[in-house]
Amino acid sequence: MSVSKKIENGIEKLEKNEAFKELMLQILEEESKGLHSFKAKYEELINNYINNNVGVQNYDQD
Amino acid sequence: MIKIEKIEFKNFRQYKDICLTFAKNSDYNLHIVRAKNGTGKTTFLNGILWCLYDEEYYISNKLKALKVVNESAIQEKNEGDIVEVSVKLTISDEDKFLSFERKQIFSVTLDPLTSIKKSVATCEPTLKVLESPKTAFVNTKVYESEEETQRLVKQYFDKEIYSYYFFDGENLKNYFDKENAGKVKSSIYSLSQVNLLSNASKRTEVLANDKRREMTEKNDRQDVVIYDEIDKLKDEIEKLRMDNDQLDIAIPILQKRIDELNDQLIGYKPVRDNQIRREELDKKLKQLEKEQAEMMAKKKEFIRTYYMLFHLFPRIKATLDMIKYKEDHGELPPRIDKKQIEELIHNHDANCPMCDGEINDHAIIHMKQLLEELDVSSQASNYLSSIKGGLELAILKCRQYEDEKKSLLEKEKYYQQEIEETEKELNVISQYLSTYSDSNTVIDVSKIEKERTQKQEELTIKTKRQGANELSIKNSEERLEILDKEAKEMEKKANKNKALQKQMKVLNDLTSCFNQVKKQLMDKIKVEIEENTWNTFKNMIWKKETFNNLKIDEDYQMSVYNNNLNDMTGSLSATESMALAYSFTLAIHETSGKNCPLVVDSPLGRVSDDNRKNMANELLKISQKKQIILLFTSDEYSKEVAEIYDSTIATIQDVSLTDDEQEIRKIGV
Repeated sequence: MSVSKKIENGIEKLEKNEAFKELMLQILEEESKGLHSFKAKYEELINNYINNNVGVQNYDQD
Repeated sequence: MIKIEKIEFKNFRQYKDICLTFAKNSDYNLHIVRAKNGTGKTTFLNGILWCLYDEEYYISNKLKALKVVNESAIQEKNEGDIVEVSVKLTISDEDKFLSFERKQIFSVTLDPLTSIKKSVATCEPTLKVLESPKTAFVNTKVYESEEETQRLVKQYFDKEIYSYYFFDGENLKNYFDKENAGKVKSSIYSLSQVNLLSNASKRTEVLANDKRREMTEKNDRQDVVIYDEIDKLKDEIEKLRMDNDQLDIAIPILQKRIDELNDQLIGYKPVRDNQIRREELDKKLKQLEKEQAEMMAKKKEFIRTYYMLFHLFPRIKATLDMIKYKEDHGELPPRIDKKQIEELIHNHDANCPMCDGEINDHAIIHMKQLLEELDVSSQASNYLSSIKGGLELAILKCRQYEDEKKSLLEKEKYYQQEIEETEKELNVISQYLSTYSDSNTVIDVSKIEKERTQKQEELTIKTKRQGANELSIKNSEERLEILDKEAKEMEKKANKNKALQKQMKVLNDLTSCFNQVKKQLMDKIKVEIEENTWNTFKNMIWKKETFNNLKIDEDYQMSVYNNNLNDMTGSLSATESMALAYSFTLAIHETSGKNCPLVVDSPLGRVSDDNRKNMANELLKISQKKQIILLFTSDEYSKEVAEIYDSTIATIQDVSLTDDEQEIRKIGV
């Protein structure tokens, strides 16, 4: 089972940031596999996103 | 498109051994199964439900129902034999076949009173799913675990909405009750992955809360206090350094002026000797003060050393006594010849040199243990010998206490006296010079001496201040070093907090986005179901002007409105209710994203003649895009219906009971 086209389209319409879109899809993909222990997987994906995306540095200014 | 390819029954109720296949024979995916009333149409539907869900939802009275095993199959067997009941539903989905097969084993028993054969289930029914590619009909995957088989069942025929795959035309109220609507909503959300978004947003929210808690724990107010203290200390050190910088300039100036005044006094003969003596006394005083400081340091060390020694004395004495006792009794080192034991173990053929006895295995084991113990006791013995000297010295030192104390006190007294006497003599000289009077003199000794005294006092104050400043700087720097380390630790924490802040921001954004996508998806699904239901409903009913629109509420309950916008759902005729149930069912299929087959029992049973053609035509149209299997009674499959669903369009299979009414057989295709 993978993420449906309807969800993909919904994300595409809502979010402009490509990396953030990818992060959302990755999380949903993992969810669709049936995550038993979600915390470690979520942290891994979110930290990868933060480390690989310069745009996230702007959060410092918030 | 997902299609039912075949259904194989073995000993399932009247379906003793029958296989119904559903291969397409036209542009339509329409299949008709015809049977007389009471000849197993509903059992056919129940067979599929039993296969998928281990339930027979369409059975009239579960408590009084017969067992699933075919009666004649039991009667044909002998006592103790087994009969296997199975239903296998094979579907095709894109490039693969999936066969859902449920089995249950029954054992044949004999009633002792009536001698009638009965059946007893030997196990619970079990489901397995076989998967194979369409290219080769061999099973490539077998799913047997409960988790896997249930997942596949849910994926194709979610139990929660079974009645929307296996439609019962005689029980329409199911399709309009509130409980069922709730199940539809939940199932649709599951199939459309709304639940996936719900889970993800719940989890990102949980994680964001965790991060918030972690940050609050770390963010203690001590940070501010430490940084304040660091700032204050730095200011203080700066001020002290500035003061010392000024003292560094002032002290040499003062010293220089004192030297000049000293020179003037030395240059004047009548007081030269006094000045020379004063300089000697100054030197002596400085030396005495230095020696007194050294002596005071020794005194401190003396107090520290003897405090420890007297505190430990009872233990030192006891340990030393114990070592001496052991030495006196020959226990240090142990009186065993290790080498001789090793030789005895090696040459155990010889007799014991002590008792002349035989050295057997038991003796060898004993000697080996002795060697091990000897190693341990040798280590202890070596250690005790090594500390003995130190302990003796400590005792000796304790005995020297009184002498050392006396010597120190005498020295202390000596320095006090010497310093007092020197200062006294210096005061006398200063007094003499400050009151010195000589009318012939070219210099004013008294004035010089007064200035000198004043400068000397000023110098002493400044020098002391300089020393005090240095000490304060040293202490402050030490404290600053400690605070700097703490500040660095805090900085690390602050960096961690920054990372936590970033993670929290991402998590909050994710929660918000997942919720927005979910809301959009839910709205879209509802609108889609409304539109699809309305479109099919409009086509199925013959009254084109009565109905205005259709709404589905938040709980997925349908309402149909007339042209005056009044809710007329409760006033629908049986035919209209059927059309609405069909329309809603097909809309659910459409929205679920999986084009699953629809099996309908009594598809037109409640439909009046006027509408029959309409509905039959609409189902036919739908069967171009979806597989539809219709279970008709002979009466229901009327002439008008037969004209629409003839054998060139639909596959038609007739089933009938055998003469003994024990078994259903196919009687024509």
